[in-house]
Amino acid sequence: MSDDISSFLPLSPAALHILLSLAGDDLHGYGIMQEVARQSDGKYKLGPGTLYDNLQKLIRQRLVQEMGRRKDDEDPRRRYYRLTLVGHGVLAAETRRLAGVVREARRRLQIPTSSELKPRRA
Amino acid sequence: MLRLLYRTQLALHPPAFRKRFADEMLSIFDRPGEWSAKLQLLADGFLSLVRQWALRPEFWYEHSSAIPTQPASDGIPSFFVLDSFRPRPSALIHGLVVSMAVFCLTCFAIRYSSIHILHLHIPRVLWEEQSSIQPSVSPSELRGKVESPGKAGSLPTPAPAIPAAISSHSPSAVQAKASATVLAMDGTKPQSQITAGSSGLVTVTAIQQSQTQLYAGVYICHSPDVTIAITTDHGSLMMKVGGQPKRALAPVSSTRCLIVDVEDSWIEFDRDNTGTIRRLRFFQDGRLLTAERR
Repeated sequence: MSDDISSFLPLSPAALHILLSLAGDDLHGYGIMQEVARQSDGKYKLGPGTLYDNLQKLIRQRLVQEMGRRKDDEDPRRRYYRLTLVGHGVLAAETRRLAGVVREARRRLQIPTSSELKPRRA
Repeated sequence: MLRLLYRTQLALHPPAFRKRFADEMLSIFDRPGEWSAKLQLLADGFLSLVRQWALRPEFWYEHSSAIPTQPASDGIPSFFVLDSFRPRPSALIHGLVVSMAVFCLTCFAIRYSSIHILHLHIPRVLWEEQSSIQPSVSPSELRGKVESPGKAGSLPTPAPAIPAAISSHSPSAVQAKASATVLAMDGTKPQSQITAGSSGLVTVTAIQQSQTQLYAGVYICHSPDVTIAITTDHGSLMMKVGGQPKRALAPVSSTRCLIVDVEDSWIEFDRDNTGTIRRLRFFQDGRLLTAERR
């Protein structure tokens, strides 16, 4: 299983943000775009073309599942998407991989962590 | 104008992508926004168009089965389409062996289980066609050539036989069918036979008209509670069971009678040491009842 998950890594930034936005709740396409913008403080914006191109790949890789339309939605054309269990695993693995990258970068660049920046009491 | 351009862009996308996402992309475009945002979406749509045709050939004509079916209102898809799956040959062989083993075990269990289906060889009556009657042989001649049942070999009470009550409600009708063949089989051994062919030989085991009164009476079965009335009518034995209509009995031996017009049914009378009928056994519809004479 872990070998299967590692075959998806590393994720592209767009795929990572999409999986991360779906980690909380099922979202439609526009909701994913908004969530990605919120997560990145507006620094990373997905256009519909990029979004659905990535969703197409993620669905085929079975990392994301299409849940169909909802009757109570304000726009009946919207379809909702859900992160699958495999998607959860891939996202967790990618997060660990990125954490290792950040840790190594801090060590190489000698950037103190937030805990190291705290003033010590005498 | 911009919407028309965007729709045109979407229409130019590969079919699979267009069917799957065009509505959603258009719904995003339809959201209220500024001109600049619309232009950005147009640019994004153009890039998407180029990307899909240039970099995503595997998605151009994605099979429609890959597109999930319309889900139910509660969000749960109605059914899923499984991927094409071809099992390994060894798995097929194992499956075949296991299936055959289960099938054989099932057959064995049915055959040798503790619950046995009652299987009886029921006497069968075969009537020859009327055209086979030899016109030179009259019923009176047939009656004169009747052999005693002692020659039949398996009958406990020898008695001169008359084909009187065979297969019909009236003696005259019985005589018309005197040329018939009655085969009463108990297991593999015929108990009696009535024939009239070119040789004129008639072998009969039956009950004399004068003796039918010996069989008449009421027989009671307590489990289940059934009353069987045996009566005589013009020398023929008749039977009435509960609310069923009265049936004629066709004696095939001095103790066994077939029930006329009822398939696979018979009655067998039991005598005591004095020769008196004390009980009968009644078989019908796969059930065997024993009734004591009242």
